[in-house]
Amino acid sequence: MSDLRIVAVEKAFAGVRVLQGITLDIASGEFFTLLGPSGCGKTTLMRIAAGFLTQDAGEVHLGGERIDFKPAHTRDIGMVFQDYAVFPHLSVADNIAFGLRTRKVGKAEIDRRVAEIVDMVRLGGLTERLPSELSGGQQQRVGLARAMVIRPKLLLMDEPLSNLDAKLRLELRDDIRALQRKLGVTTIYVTHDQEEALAVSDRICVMNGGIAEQVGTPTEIYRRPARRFAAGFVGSMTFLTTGATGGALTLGGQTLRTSAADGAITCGIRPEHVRILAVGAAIPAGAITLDGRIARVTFLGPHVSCVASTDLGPIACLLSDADPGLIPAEGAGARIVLPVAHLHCFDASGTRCEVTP
Amino acid sequence: MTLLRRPLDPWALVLMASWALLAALLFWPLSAIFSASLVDNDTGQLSLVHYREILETRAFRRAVVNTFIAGFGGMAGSVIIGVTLAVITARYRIAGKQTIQTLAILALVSPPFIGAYAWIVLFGANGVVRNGLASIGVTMPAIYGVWGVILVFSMKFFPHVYLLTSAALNAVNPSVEEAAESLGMPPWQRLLKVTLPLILPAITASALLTFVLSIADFGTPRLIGRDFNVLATEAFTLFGSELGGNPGMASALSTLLIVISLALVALQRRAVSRNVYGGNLVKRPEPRPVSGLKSLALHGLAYLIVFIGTIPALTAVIFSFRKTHGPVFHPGFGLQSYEKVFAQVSAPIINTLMFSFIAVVLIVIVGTMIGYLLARRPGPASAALDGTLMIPYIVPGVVMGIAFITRFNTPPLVLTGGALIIILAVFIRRLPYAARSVATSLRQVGPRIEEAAISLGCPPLQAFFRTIVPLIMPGILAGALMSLVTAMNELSSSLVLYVGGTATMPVRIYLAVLDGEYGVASALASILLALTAAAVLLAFRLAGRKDAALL
Repeated sequence: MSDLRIVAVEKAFAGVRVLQGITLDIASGEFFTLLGPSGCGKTTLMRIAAGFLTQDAGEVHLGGERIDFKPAHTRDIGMVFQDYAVFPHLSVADNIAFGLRTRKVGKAEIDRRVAEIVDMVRLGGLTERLPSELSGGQQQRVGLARAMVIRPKLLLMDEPLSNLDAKLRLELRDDIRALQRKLGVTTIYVTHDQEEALAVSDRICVMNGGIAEQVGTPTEIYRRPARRFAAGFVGSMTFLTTGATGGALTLGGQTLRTSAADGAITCGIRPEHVRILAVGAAIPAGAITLDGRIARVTFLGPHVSCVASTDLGPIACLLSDADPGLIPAEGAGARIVLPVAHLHCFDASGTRCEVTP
Repeated sequence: MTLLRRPLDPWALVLMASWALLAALLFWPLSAIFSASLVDNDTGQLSLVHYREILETRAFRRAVVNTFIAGFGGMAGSVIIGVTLAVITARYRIAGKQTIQTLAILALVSPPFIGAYAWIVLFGANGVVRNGLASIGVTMPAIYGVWGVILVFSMKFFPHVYLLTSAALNAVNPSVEEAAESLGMPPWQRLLKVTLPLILPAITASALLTFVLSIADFGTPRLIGRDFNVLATEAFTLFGSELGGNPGMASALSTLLIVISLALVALQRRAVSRNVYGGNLVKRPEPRPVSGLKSLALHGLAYLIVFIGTIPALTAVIFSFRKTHGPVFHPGFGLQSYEKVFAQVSAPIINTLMFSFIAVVLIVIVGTMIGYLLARRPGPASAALDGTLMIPYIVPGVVMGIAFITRFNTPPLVLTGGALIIILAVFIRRLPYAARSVATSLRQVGPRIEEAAISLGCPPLQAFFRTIVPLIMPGILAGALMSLVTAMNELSSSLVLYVGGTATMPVRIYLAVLDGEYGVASALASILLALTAAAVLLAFRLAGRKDAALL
C-alpha cells in the first residue's frame, strides 16, 4: 500500500531547476532513501515533503491525504537533522517531550512515552542533562527520540549521521534501522553516503541533477544498475568506452552481442568481479580477456586492491582473502579477465543495455 | 486555489508591518524635510532657492567645508588613536588589558557633550588646567575652535575604532602571518600585505562610523567650536527660533547632511564588500612579550590614551562634588550641586528614565522581529529593509528632530509638545542597532532548531518564541541595555523636540552648560554617567563578553 506519494514535483531556485519532475511511491512502513551527490535535489525534495519549501508544481500525498498546501506544523511529520537541532536550552527529557507538549498530551502520558523512547534510543540516565553535556552521537539520539515520540505519520532524516565520526556512525546507523523496523514508521532518509544507503534502506532512489535516476532495492541497484550514474555512484566501477554497430560491440578485440542501438557504449565492471590470471593462462569462456601489467597494489587487510593497466585503460580489481602467494607484484605482467555476466553496459543516454557473449 | 496552496507565513505580515512602520516614522517625516527644502519660504513656490543659497552664502559654504573638516578630522584622530591602542593591546603583552578596555568603554558610553563641557572646564578660556599652567608661565591657546572640536571627537570616538580593530586583530590566524614570513616576507612588508588587508574592513567600517558620528554631533561644535559652524549647528540655529526661523533653509542643510552621510556609507560598503575574508581560526594570536624601554613606552602610550579618553567623565564627577555658591565654584568639596539638582531639576531625571525605558521596550520588541526577518527570511524585501535601516542610523539626531517636528506639528498626526514624539524619535534612531544585533545572534543559532520545533507541531510564531527567543535572550537583553544607554544619552533629537515639561537629562545638562551652571551640569552628568555605567556593566554580565555586547 502506498503511503507517501510524490507526484511530478518540480522546484527551481533562481532559475535553476533543482527538481525536474520527481514521482515516487513509498509504501507504508518502508525505509526509503534518497541518495545522491550534493546538489542533486534530495534535500530539497525532503524539505518539500516536510513543508519547509513549497514546490513549483506537483503534489504530495500522505496516507491518502494531499498535504502540500498544509503548513509544516500541521503535517505530523517527524524530522531528524544533520546538525541535530536539539534545543540547547532544554534538558534531554524536555527536548523529547517538546512535540508531546505542543500536542497537549497529558503529563502522565508524556512521562510514560518519554521513558519508553529514552530506553529505545539508549539514553537512560541522561534525561536531565543539557545537550551541551552530551556527545554528538547522544545528541542525535535525542533528535531521533524527539521525532519518534510523537509517532509521526512520516519520519524524515536529513543526513543524520554525517556529522558523526566513523565508529559512532555505524553504531547509530544500526540503531536507527532497528528502531524504524520496531515502530514501523514510514521513513525517508537522505544521504550522500552510498554504503549507508545500502545498509539501511528497503529501497533507494538514486538522484542526480534533479531527476530520479533509479529506484530499487539495494541489491537491485548494486547488482543491476539501470543507469550509468547509479552504477558509478553506488559502489565503485571501472568504465571502459566502446561503440555498438549493428547489434554488436567490440571490447579488447572480442565481439559481444548487444541490445543497444548504434552509438557510443560504456561498459563497467566492479573491481570484485575482475579476475587476475598469470600470463599465458588458459582463456576462460564467457569473459573478455586482456593482457596487461599490474601497475599498483594496495594491501587493505581483508582485501588487496590492484590497478592493472591494459590497452583499454586502467582497470581496478579487488582480490578478497588473497593467498599471500597469489598477491601480484607491481610491474608484473598479468591476464585480466572480465566475465561478461558481470559487465554493465550503458548507451549514450546512460541507460542500461544488455550484452551477451 | 492559489490561496489554499500557499500557507500565509506570519512573518510576511511582520515584514509588511515593518515597512509600514518605517514609512510612518522615517520616510514620512523625512519627506517633510525634503519637500520643505524645495519650497521657497516667501512665495510657497517649488524652487531650488535654498540650495542655491547654500552655494551663494559664505557662512553656509563654510559650514559645508567645516562639516567635512570635522568629519575627516574626527575620523583621522579616532583611527590613529584607536588603531594604535588596538595594535598595542592585541599584539603585545600589556598589563591590565581589562582595565584599558573598561576605560575605553567608559569613554565610549559617557554622554558626548560631557566631553565638550569637561574640556572647556579644563582648557577653556578660564580653564582650570590652562589657568594653572599660566600661573607658572606656560601659556597655551584656549581649546575653542576647529582643533578643539577635532580633539574632542578623536578622544570621544576612538573607542569604536579600538574595539572593532582589536576584535579583527584577534581574529587574524597567526599561522597566516607565519606563513607569509616563512615564504620570505619581512615583517614590515607582511604587516602591509597580509595583516592590514585582513583588518582593513574593520578599520574602514569603524572609520566610517566615526565620520558619521562626527558630522552628526551637534553639542560639541556648538559648545566648543565658537565660530566653527557646521551643518548640524546651522540647521539647528535656523530652525531654532519659531518666528525668526528659516525652515526651508534648515531643511536644505539637513538634506545635504543626510546626502553626505549616505554617500559615504555607500562608498564604504562598496569598498568593503569585496574585501571581507572568511578565515578558519585554528590558533588564537598570542601577544608578544615586551620588556625594558619598549615595554615602558607601550604601557605609557596605552594608558595615556585611555586616561585622556576618560578625562571628561572624571572631570564631571569631580566637579559635581565641588562646593558651589550659585553658579560659581568655590574651593573645597560639597554636595550643593546634587541638592540643587534634586530640589529643582529632578523632572529631567524621571523623564529620561521613563522615555528611555518605553523606547527600549519598543526597540526590543520591534527590533527582535525585524532582526529575525533579516537573518531568516532572505529576499529582496528584507534585503531592502536591511539597507533602509541604515538611514535612521546615520541621519543626524538634529535632522531627525527637525523632520519629526515638521511632520507631526500639523494634522493628521499631531505629536509635538508631548513625550511620545521624543520617544518615537529615539525609537526609530536606535532601532537599527537592535535589529542588526538580533540578526547577528540569530545567524549563530542554526535555522534547523526552529524547523525542528515546527516539525514537532509548533506554529511558526510560537516556535520562534519557544525556541529562538530563549536562546538569544542574553543577547537581546544586552542589546536592550546598550540601547538604553544610547537612549538615555540622546541629546540632539530631544533638544529639537522637547518642551519645558519633557526636558531630559542630556537636554538639561546642555542648557546648564550654556547658562554656565557648571555645578548642576556636573551633578546631572554624573548621575547620567552612573546610570549609564550600571546599564553597561549589566549588559557585560549578560553578554558574558565585553565586546560582544558592544559590537
